[in-house]
Formats: sequence, C-alpha cells, structure tokens
Amino acid sequence: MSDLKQIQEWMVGVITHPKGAVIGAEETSINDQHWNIQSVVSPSDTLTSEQRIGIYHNGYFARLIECFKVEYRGLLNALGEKLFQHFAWNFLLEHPSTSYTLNDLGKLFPSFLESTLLENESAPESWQLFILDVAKFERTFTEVYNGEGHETLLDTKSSNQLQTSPAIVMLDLKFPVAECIGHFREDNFTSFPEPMISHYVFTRQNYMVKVYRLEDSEYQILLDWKSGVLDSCPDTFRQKWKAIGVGY
Amino acid sequence: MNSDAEVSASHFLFEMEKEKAFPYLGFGLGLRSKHFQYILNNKPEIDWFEIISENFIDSKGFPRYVIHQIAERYPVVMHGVSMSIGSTDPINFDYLKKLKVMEKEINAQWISDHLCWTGVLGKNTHDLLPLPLNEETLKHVVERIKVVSDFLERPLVLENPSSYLQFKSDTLTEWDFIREMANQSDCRLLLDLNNVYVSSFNHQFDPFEYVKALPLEKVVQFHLAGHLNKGTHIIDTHDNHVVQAVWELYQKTIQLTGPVSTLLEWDSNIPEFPELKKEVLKAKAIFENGKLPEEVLISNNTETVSNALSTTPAI
Repeated sequence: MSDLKQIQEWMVGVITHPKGAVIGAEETSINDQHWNIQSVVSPSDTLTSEQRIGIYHNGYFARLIECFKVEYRGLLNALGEKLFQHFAWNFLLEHPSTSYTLNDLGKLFPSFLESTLLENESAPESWQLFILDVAKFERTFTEVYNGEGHETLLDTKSSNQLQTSPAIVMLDLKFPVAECIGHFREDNFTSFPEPMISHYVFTRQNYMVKVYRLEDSEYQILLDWKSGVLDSCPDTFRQKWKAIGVGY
Repeated sequence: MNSDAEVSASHFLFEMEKEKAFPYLGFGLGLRSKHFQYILNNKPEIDWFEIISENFIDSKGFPRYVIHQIAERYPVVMHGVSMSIGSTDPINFDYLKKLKVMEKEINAQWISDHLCWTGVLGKNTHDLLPLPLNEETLKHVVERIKVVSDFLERPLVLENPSSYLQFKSDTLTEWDFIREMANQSDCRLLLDLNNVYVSSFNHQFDPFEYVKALPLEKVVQFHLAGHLNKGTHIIDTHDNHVVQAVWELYQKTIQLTGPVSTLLEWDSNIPEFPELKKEVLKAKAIFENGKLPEEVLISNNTETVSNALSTTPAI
C-alpha cells in the first residue's frame, strides 16, 4: 500500500468520524497502527494540526447536512433544527455518500427515517407518520424534477394513443401533504394537519413538477393503467389526464 | 538548451494550438439554478457561462433543458467537482462517459476539475481535499491526467485548490507541484486567484510569487470568488464579493498573462443576476483600464461552509 493511499484512508476516517477529528485519529487504524494527527498534518503559525484537520471534519458534516436542508426544507421546519440535524447526522454515518453526485445523497433518507422512527413502535404517533409523509413527498418532488419526462417525446408519438408519461409517480399518503407543504417549506405553519388518506400523482409539464390529488377510484384506475393491467387509457379520464400531464 | 528563435517558434505554435482548443471567452459567470429563469427570460449580455458538471449530467429535467437553451446562445465550460483526480480509488469511467455525452450535447469549450481528491474506498466526502505534495503524488496524478485526457479525447484543465492544511510528507511547494504536473502531462490550468490568496494566507506564502512560478502559458482560465476571513485562517466560501487583495492579485497577474477567460463564482448567499454581473464587470474594468474597483466592506460574522453545492429546486 502506498503512502498516498494510506494517508487518504486515514484522512477520510478522521474527517468523517462522528466524535470529531481528534478521537477520529485515535480510532482510525491503518495497518493496525494509529497515527497521531501531528505526525501527518503540519501546524501553521495560527492553527494547530488538530485545528487544521478539524476544518475538514466540520466541513464534511456541515456541507452534507446543508444539502439535506435544501432538499428537505419542509421536513427541517416540521422537525426543528435540532431533531433534523440529529437524523441527518445519523443518516450520514449509516449511509455515507458513495456517488459522485449530491443528487443521490438524500435518496434513502425517507426509508432511513421510517426504520428509525418506527423501530419498536407498535402504534406510531400521528406526528411520526406525518414526518414520514413529508420526507416521501419532498424526495418524490426531487426525483420527478430531475427524472425522465415526456417533454421531448411529444413529436414522436401518435396523439390518438395516450401513453403514461415517464415522469409520473403515484404517492399514497396518510396526510394531505401537498396542501400544506408550501407552509412547511416557508416555515409558516401553526400545527400539523389532521390525518387524511391522500392519493397524489406527480406529473411534469414543460419541465415543471405538478402534484394532483386523486379520488380513490381514479387513483386505482391510474395504477392499473400505469402497471399495464389496463391496455389503454379509459375514455373517462383521457382528456383530463392528457391536460395534467399524466399521459401524452 | 534551445536557441531563442526555437523557443519563440515553439511558443508561437503553442499559442496557435491554445487559441484553437481554448479560445479566449471574455468575462463569464458560474451558472446557478437561482438564475435559470432570469437568463431564459432576459437573455442577458454576458460573454459565457460555466456549469458545475454534476448538476447537469444526470438531469433529464429542467436543468438539462436550461443548459441546452443556454448553450445555443452562449459559450459554456464544464467545471466538475467529482473527478477526484488525486484519489487512489479507480477512475470512475461511468462518470467520465457522462461528461463526454454532455460535452458533445452542449459543445462545451473545455472540461475542468480540481487538483484534489474527494474520497477513497468508495466513500465520497464531496469536499475538495488536499493532496500530499511530493513525487509519489505527482507521478500518480500525472498518470491519471493522461488516462482521463485520453478518454475525454481532449486536454483536461485542472484548478489549483484552496486548502486548510499541509502534510508532513510534503516535499514540493504547490506551485512547483503544479508546474511539474503541467509540464509532465498535457493538462492546462485553471488558475483560481481567490484560491491562491486563501491558501497563501493559510500557509503563509506570497500569492504573487506563487503565480509567477507557474507555467502561465498553460493557464486557460481564471476563477475569481469571495471568501471568509476568520482571522486565524480563511475559508473559501464563494458567498460574497471578491476582496480587494484578490482584485489586486488579478490586476498583477493579467499583466503577465494577457487576456485569459475570466469567471466569477458565487455559490452561497447568491445575489440577483444583475448584481452578479456587476461583480464580473469589475474584472473587465481592471483588464481594460487597469482600474481597481472600490473596496467593499465584507462582514466575517457568519458561520459558513466552503462551497456547498446542491441542486434541489424550491417546491
């Protein structure tokens, strides 16, 4: 193993350690040896070796949690800064980024929250279920925004035969999140909403994400059409679904 | 040793090649999602844009649509943060393939990234981490630049990083490392003058001595940005106006280089587009008239993170 490889493995161990850079160095071993920070990093006239590597340690957690705050802003406001940071921090420890893109960072956050919040909960509280719905909603928004749409497919398909848009995502929630997410993202809410079974479809038109509430029966029919149980779009919904971007 | 005539001829040929592969673009801005709609609606007069490659290469939605629209009107440069050229992990060819696809789609002027590493053992810190500056690292980086350039079928452009620490195993200065790297590989340089200044403060060297020691004929682009001075050290935050000392460094540097494509980065607390444009026009005024801008008082009373990059839009 080269010195460069050893230094890189050591440095990632130190700057991503949950207990700080100093304890990180004590608990990071390279070839069964622990390296003292001062033996790897030079001090400056104004900062010790520990303070200098500490800048990278602070930056690691702060930078990635900042990304979570942007993507999950409604969740941040619903949970409050302290609790949100707690979950985001623990998520990073369990799921450090392995991707070149920050777009993937929050992908597993809703399922992480679900397993964390509902662990040993036989009867989860209403606020916990609302939190999970908000997380799922915000992640879905990100994925539809960045994912495949039908904007560039319009000219290549026959207008007689409606197709489901590749952009659509259906979400079955326990709370009316779409109706209140704006207030949560703006931190302009007074209380959590009452539970209400809410079926949504996310669509995209001209690259803008739109969310529509669907009645039970319409949601089920759309599910059947999307999954291929129905061969074609039912006439009853053809006009509406084309207009809202469910089909194209 | 070559004669003066030989040196002059080879310099001329190099300049011809550089002009073709790396045209002078003028004064540009880093494209950020906050300004997408403004740019589409107003088509502002600006010489060129630089994108953060990772914010676009996977998008099949609005960001990709926007960059296609912008590339039809403006020259675009691709600037990445995830190549991890100094990492000891294998090169990520899937990532490079995506860069290549986007480069063709938007006819990118060039592709750049940083002299750094971002992670190891498959873990990505999403930070631009410093490398030990010694012969082992130099050899490693030069080899990887050649592999990447061959794959991309064009010379790679690498940016000097800002850094907050130095290693005990350093045996080269950063300017010596970069000069050797540029000489031994076919890479070109993106000289970030704010980074030079940040590192010069953090590591106590003269920023202009650093600049003078570089192979300036290989510099194809400048970066300018704001930073945060914490007293004991400077953090490269890209969240404010360019400081006066960096404008002065820019003024002295362009006297050595002549015209080099210049770009302003602003990644946090991003102002409205017209204010951003005013900031880069300060660079143009220095270039055209030698006139330094009036000093802007910058507060250092904030908690910050070095250039965080996120792409999620507002719901």
